Amino acid sequence: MKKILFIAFIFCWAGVWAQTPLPKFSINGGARAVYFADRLAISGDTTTLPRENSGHVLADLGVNVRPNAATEVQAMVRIRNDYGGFWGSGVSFDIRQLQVKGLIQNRFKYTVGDMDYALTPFTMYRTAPLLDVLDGVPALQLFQQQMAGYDVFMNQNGSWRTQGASLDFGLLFRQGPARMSNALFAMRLRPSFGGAATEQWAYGGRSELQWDATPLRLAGTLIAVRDMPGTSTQTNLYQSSVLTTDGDFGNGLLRLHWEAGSSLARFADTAFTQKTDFFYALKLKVGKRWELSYREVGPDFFSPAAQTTAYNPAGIPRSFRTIGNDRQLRAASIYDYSREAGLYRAGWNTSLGNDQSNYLLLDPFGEATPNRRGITLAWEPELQLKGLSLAVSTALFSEIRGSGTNELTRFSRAEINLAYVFRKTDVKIMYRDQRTWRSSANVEVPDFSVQQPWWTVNIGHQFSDIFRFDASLLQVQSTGFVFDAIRNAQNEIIDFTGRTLNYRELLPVAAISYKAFGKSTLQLGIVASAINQSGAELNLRSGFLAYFIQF
Amino acid sequence: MRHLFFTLTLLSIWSCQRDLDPAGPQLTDLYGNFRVLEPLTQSAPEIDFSTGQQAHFTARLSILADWQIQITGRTSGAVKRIIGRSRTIDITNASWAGETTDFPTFREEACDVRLTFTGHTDTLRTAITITGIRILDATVLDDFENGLRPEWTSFVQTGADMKFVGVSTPPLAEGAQYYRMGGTVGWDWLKGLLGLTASAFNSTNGFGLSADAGSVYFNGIFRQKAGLNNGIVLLRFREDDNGDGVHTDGGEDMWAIEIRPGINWSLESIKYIDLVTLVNGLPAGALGNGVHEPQKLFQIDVLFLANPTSGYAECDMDLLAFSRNEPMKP
Repeated sequence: MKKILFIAFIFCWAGVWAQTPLPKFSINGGARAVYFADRLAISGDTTTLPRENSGHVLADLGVNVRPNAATEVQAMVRIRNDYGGFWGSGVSFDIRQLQVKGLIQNRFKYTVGDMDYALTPFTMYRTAPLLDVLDGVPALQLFQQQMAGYDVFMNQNGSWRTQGASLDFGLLFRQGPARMSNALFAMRLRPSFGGAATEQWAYGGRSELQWDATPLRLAGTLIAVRDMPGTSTQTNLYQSSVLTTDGDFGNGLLRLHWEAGSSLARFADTAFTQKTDFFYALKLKVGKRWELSYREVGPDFFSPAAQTTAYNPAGIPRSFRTIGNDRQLRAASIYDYSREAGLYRAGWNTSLGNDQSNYLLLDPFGEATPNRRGITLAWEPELQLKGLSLAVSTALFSEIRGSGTNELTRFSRAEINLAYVFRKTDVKIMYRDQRTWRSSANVEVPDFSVQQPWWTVNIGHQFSDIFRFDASLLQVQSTGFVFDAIRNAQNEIIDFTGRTLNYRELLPVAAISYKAFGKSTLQLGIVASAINQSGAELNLRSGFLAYFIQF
Repeated sequence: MRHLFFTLTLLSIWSCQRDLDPAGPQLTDLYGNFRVLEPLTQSAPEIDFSTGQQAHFTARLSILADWQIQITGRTSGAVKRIIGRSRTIDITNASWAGETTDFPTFREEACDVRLTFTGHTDTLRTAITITGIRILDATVLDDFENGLRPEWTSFVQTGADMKFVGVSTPPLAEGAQYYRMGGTVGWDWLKGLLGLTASAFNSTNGFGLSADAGSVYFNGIFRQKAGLNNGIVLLRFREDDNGDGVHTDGGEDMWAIEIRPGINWSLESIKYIDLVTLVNGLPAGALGNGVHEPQKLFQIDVLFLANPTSGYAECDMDLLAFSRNEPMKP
């Protein structure tokens, strides 16, 4: 038995340690300066002031200290000054990051403090399916990434910013799998505030086996969320556990990826409602151009760290917060999600919340959206015309458990992405057709039928290496009849609100950008948002000037 | 060992069983048309509650609906309401053992029964006749049908317009009489008090109550004269903790509760274990062993109080009783 056990602890930390001498002290961070001149127009609104101007300049100053070859300390402070806040008023100082990481005996890597952590799409992943639409609008995408996303620590790998500790280590084997990498973590999600709330922690780990002789990778992941007993007077405590296994097999022509697992959630109600369910997802890549996937996520599969959307659909924007003569709170739109960090979540939700029918019905909670079963096919054909690329995908899903009826709701999505580069001009077009339908067996109940087409068009021209112009148009739309599910804290549907959907959001954007240095961008432009909901129109316009730099 | 994790994961998946019943309320209940499929009927035209009989009502609807059955006594005016949310009304959700929702209690009388629905104008009607009234499953201290029971001791201040008498003027609560306490005493909160010892009541220790303080309920029906809100009924429960045959003031437990009645007759029920020690109306530490021991209840006091500067005060009470396991259902 011992023969096949590890022969050595291994650890490679990006070659940072020992191989490359790094300075013991360095400064890093970022800075930005933005200014928005906003204008609102609603017909008949004589109360709301039509103009709002806002802007700020901030600097995130990070200090990176390496007292020895095995330790690194990173601290970052944020200094922010809103325009008009001279002489101290309006100036804020915050701690943005504190982190210590290092090596123990050159074998174990540890991190303590702030951590950006991601696991798999079904265990811990910061999902944001609505933001996919910004792929075709580079100016808004830059805002989303450099303002809202940057402020709440969103990363391309779907990590969540948490506080806690992690430990990573690896093993090498003589036979069987070549190596095994392991990660353990514990995160404090909620403090007890002196007993006012129940302290909540998440903990778990991941082990991954990699074979060299065969193209095989196997991994297992566990994440558990627990209310900690004794930290408040509450005796009804929330518990959630998600256990999954994932892996890859094959290379070259055929490559199979899978993940499967189950969840158990025990809610903090007096009935101790307990839900358990499972999921599995398979993805087969054929060559470089075809991809076929199937996934089934059970109706009671609950994974808070994977199903909590990065943005908060119920958030209220700061800009033009109340509108209309009756001072209604304004609902957030794509325009707001592209620039307001306050509309993003910093932690996980243990409940799904209500449906988000204005934008998405197939996967409102990302890949781990519960109660879905279906197939996706993607194809990227090889085209003869130079500079032209095309990507096509289609998906067909259905519910697993009916909502209010035995009839299952069905979902389809077809998307086409076309890009063409001609000399210094590029054109990018995306069209996504999304449909949701369910026939009602009872003539008195309306049919569930929604169409949600999205499209974006972007025309960009690269004047020189540093100057670029983009003109984009984005539209999302929802029309039809929908039944919005109302859920309780235990994720059980307690009611349905049937309503006619007639929503359209159109965003034209034009921006010129200047990139003088590697990680800096100066952008000047205009954006408008025209929202028509059931005949009521809301028009927002903004002129903006923004500068972002990372160092 | 390395494969244990993956085996556990697969086992946990296979062990899951899915509930595939539709989630949430039925859409047909929410969005279907409301129709009465079967009319309202009673289980029998006549009912004798004194023999333990129960009546029930039936009806069937096309969709889930919030409904209310109201039974009104033609002679007494007593009202019983049964509410529910269902498609089917039957013995499981619409049975009646002769209890009252709005006092007075029912008599032997004919009753009108009306079924109404929230959000729908339909009203269904039927009738039922009570041939025997409900017999209370309770230890009744006094129903005041003949004024005050002679076992009570009473003290009434010498104030103005003092009333500590049995009254038969409607509206009634239970039976034909209730007890009225009223008067003006400008120098003292206390207008009068009644005391009833266990030995005088039934010569049984602790009024024959169970030793389980969590299962014993004290009940009474109270109201206050319309236009007044200054009357307070203070109920005190004196225990004989040491079993010496007397209650020692300040040395043995005296639990209490203050009731400030509204203008309509209302049943007040309190679990014995929830009684507290009150000193000048405020919760205080126990005076005796601190254990709720209904089996050692020595005496019950009913004190009628009002702020001496507030003028005339008047409260009525009826049907003081202990019940077991649940509040009394008159």
